[in-house]
Amino acid sequence: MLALAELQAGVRRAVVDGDPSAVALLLTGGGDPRRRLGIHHRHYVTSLTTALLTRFPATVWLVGSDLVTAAAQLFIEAQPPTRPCIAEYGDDFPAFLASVPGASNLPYLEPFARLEWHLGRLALAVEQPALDAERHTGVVYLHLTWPVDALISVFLTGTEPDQFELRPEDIWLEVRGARGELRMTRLSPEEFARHHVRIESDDQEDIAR
Amino acid sequence: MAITSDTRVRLTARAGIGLRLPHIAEVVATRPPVGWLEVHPENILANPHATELLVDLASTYPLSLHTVGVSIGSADGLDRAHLRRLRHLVDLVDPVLVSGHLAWSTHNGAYLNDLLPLPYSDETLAVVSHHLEQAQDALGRPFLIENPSSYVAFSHSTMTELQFLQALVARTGCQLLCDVSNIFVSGHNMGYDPYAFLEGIPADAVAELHLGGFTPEEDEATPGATILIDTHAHRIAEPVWDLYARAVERFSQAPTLIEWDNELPELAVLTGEAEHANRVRNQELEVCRAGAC
Repeated sequence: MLALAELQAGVRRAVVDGDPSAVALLLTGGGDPRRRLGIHHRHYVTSLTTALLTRFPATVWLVGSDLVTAAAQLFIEAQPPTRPCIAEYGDDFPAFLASVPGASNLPYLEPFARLEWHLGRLALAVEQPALDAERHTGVVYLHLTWPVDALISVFLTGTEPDQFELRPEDIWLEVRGARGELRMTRLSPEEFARHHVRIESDDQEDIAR
Repeated sequence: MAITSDTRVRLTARAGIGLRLPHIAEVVATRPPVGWLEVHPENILANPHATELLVDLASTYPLSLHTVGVSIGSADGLDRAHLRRLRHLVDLVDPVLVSGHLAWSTHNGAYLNDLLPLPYSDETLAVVSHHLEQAQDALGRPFLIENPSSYVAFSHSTMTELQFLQALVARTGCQLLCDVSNIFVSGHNMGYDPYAFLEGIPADAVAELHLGGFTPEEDEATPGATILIDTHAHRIAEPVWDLYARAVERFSQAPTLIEWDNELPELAVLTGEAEHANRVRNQELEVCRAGAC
């Protein structure tokens, strides 16, 4: 008889990797209980893939759902969630997405997806969160190496320009959000540095508290 | 500290609905006439705007927190950070009920986003009992345990699911959330009589009833057979309403909640299901009052 911890390690492998071999002989239920356990693997993959596609709709718009779906399924296997709040899952997805083979010629993809991650988070923010257990401030400062703020505005506003030219460019961006409203403001490097220092100082004070 | 006293509150006899994020603004705006609301706190904790709206709704409705993230059956322990976040929300909205599942979902730091099956053994009973006490201590509330929907079981279980629930109640004095649909789904999938299961549940322990829709699928390994998947994506099936009528007889004190999580319909469909639950409940209680139960 497997101890509970050992059994759960085997079921985890079945759920995340789709490999039920470690627990197959212990399963009962129906004509083929391994297929029954596969229901949990299917749910794990589909629910988290859906969560990521829902979290990154502009990225799907930009590069298509095939690439994002394939990357999401690799990401889900490589980096399972570590917290039960699935809306918080995916902060590492932009970097992962940019590393998959089909994205190698899309250098603007990581900053675009990273900006979208922050926009999604800020859309849920409020000025003074009732729960202060975690930081949910409604502002973020981003240094981007592509003008993806203009590109994502095309998606957000539903405009369809005949042509959109994208060249590498340093962008210092302030993004504010609350209750579904978002505002992106480009800053000078000096303004950005002042805010960045202040935010880091606030972080240090939070840590000290 | 063991929290085992009966702190069951008097919820309205009207059925409640599971409140999901796409409906929250409409519920704030229209305040539909349902008895109470239940949320998955994991959807709220990451969403300060939804938290704000939920606090507003707490002034109108009794609220229940039904967590999918407290992995009560995990061998490697509870997520203390998540319990602290839950406690903040409990303190903020003062829920009348807090509940979770007889299942596990975390392993070695990974959250597997599903309610996974447990073997029913003395070891599991000890783990679940210990974690239940820890969760209740951390949250400062009784933590109701819901019977799972099952597709698969383990050959080294030494108890049935029903025997396990009975033993858990006897050992900890905990309260139960009786998911009537889960009994029907598990009975179909695992080959037992759902009515016999219902009869075996300790009636005094049941503090809440759940109803949700399931999706039949072909059972690939058995030609012509179906398996029922607990999708919460459909209306409640007719045989589940029949089982619910019996549940009302046995657990007449327990309030009812309608769950719908996937392929979410218009809010009016949910409130319609809640109204149907009210009619079934009232008819059944009327029959009982007439002495025909």
